[in-house]
Parts: sequence; C-alpha cells; structure tokens
Amino acid sequence: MRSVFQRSLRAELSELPAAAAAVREWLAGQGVEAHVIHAIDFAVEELATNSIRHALSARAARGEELELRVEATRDSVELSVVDGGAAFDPTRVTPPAPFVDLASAPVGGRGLEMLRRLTPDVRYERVGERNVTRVRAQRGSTQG
Amino acid sequence: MVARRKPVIVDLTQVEFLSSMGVRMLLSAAKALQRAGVRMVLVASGQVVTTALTHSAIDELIPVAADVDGARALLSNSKP
Repeated sequence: MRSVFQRSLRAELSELPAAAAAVREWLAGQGVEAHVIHAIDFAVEELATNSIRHALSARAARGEELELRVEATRDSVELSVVDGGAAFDPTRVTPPAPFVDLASAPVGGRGLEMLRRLTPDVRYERVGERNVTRVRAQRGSTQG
Repeated sequence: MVARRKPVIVDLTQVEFLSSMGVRMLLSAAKALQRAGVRMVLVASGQVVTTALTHSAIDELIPVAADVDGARALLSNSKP
C-alpha cells in the first residue's frame, strides 16, 4: 500500500490552517494512527511556517507557493515540504542553548528542536532551486 | 503595605495542539508576568501538550501541574 496526497498553498501563514486540516483529514481517511497524524501535523506546522517566514518571506508577495506532499505506507508516513525560497537546511540549525532562567530565556527558536524530538527522522536536500525537507514518522508504535 | 498580586493559572487541559508558536506565546506571557511580579503556573494533562512542554523545555521555566488544584497547591507552597 502506498498512497500520496499533494497540496500547494500560497506562501502565507493564513493559508496554513486549511492545508494542515486537509492533511489531517487525508491521513485519518487512510486509517493512520492518531499519534502519527499528530506528528505529521506538527511537522507541517513547523516546516511550512519556517518556509513562509524565512525561505520565502521576500517572495510571498509575488504569489510564491509551497508544496506539501504526504506519502503513507503500511509502515510509515513521510511528509515533504518543498519551497522555491532561499536555501535553508533545518537539519543544520544549532539546537537552542539550555535555559538558564525565565528572565534570560529567548522566547523563540524552539520549533525545530521540538520537531526533532518528536520526529527524529528529518532530512534535507537542495534540489535545483528548491528546498526539500522530509520528515518520516513510523507507524504502529505508540511513539511517533 | 503593598497588595500581593494574584498569580495566574493557565489551564491547557482542553488544548489539542501546541506548536512552537504556542510555546513562544506562553513564554512571552510568563516573562511579562514575572517582570510585573506575578507568578504563572500551567495546567496540562494530555500527552500532546505535556510532550510539547517537555520538548520545548519550557517546563523547566514555568511550573506545570496536572490539574487546577495541583496548580493552586504549587502556588501556595512556593514563595514568589
């Protein structure tokens, strides 16, 4: 069994909730376990947000799109997020420093670390002029 | 005499999804409250939210209780 879902969206944060909901709905229709759906949903949110805010930020006004591709097999679900923005390799982002105290804690910069801890299998390739980031969640176990 | 400001309990028990954007919001709120001399405690019981709090490590900075009574107990046992 191998099923594929694809969806393009304009590179705007307001486009994301509907796209993420479509991915969840499709995965549920494939009989994918709830914890795996959550792991993929989380990855869509973090990676697409990153693409829109960083790689595509200057291009959104020109109607740039990003593409979500989800492939489900009996053993795993793989999400690919493809954008045509500036090269950005999320696997090379340095993990955030440990917190010292609340007053000195930076408010942001936790997203990729949260993604890696939830779903460690994150891979990146630059394909031509595009960023392709893939996240694979194993099915069957209780941990994503 | 200065009136002690009431602490804030943020109940996340009905929350079904917590991304880094939500974490950023909670952390910003906790920092702003701390500057105003107000303590903040989170209430979380579901696996999705407790996992996000642990993976983001903000549970090291903001106390987390399993229910509102637990949050009240944390606040009454600790000094501001």
